[in-house]
Amino acid sequence: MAGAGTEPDSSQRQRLTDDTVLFRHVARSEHNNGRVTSQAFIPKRKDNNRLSMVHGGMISAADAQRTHIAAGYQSDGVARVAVSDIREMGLEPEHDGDPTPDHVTVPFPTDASNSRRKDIARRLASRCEWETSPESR
Amino acid sequence: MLTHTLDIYKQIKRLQDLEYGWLSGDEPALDKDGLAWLGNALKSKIAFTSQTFPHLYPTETGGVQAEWRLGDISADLEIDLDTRQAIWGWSNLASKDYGQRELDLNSEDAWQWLAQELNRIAANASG
Repeated sequence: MAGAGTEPDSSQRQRLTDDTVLFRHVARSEHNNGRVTSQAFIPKRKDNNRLSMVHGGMISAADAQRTHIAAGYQSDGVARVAVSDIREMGLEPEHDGDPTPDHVTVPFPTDASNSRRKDIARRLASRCEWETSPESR
Repeated sequence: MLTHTLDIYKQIKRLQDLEYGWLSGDEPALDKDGLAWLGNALKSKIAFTSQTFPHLYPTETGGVQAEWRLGDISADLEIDLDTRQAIWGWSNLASKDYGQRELDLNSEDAWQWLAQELNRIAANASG
């Protein structure tokens, strides 16, 4: 996730409740016949073991897509998962507000095996639903 | 002739069309010979049913990941097109169980095991 923005101070950070919805941008290569690959829910090599997401209570999926694409990134669709789904995996999302005010990061455990990381990703991919499907754009 | 929406060759063609930097700028294009080998191997060594056709995706290192959702099982096969080594991984979405094993896709035994495993999971899913 990227775009112009300033990191909010702690009073501006939103508390993430279990029912808070988080968005994940899905690139063209990350979906196939409507199905999102589990790879969309594993941090990329450049992501420093943290999954970038967007606070769905702070911005619409359409606006998040516009911001993301304007910053030079791909977003063919937007998938959503609930914070509770992520906490079930033993992960704790953090609203860091950087680089955009709505930015949320999900640190993956640094000591997790490849097998465990892929297990987390499969479970998140199975839980996600389209907020904005590629066909609707 | 009607083809399945997950027709292997159609999916392979889509992967062949990816150019360098297809995701965020530095991902390699997928090796065309490797993709041709994979397409032919999948078609000839596994008798897919409508239930077991895989979804194919590129990996950021230039490989391919085949994925299946069969009942409570989410499974994938991450394939290195260069070495033809693969990692089979699965999660049981109804429990906390998960696992993985390495497969050497140069070996007929590995393909046979994969075909049997897919059939076994599919049978459990529909049973």
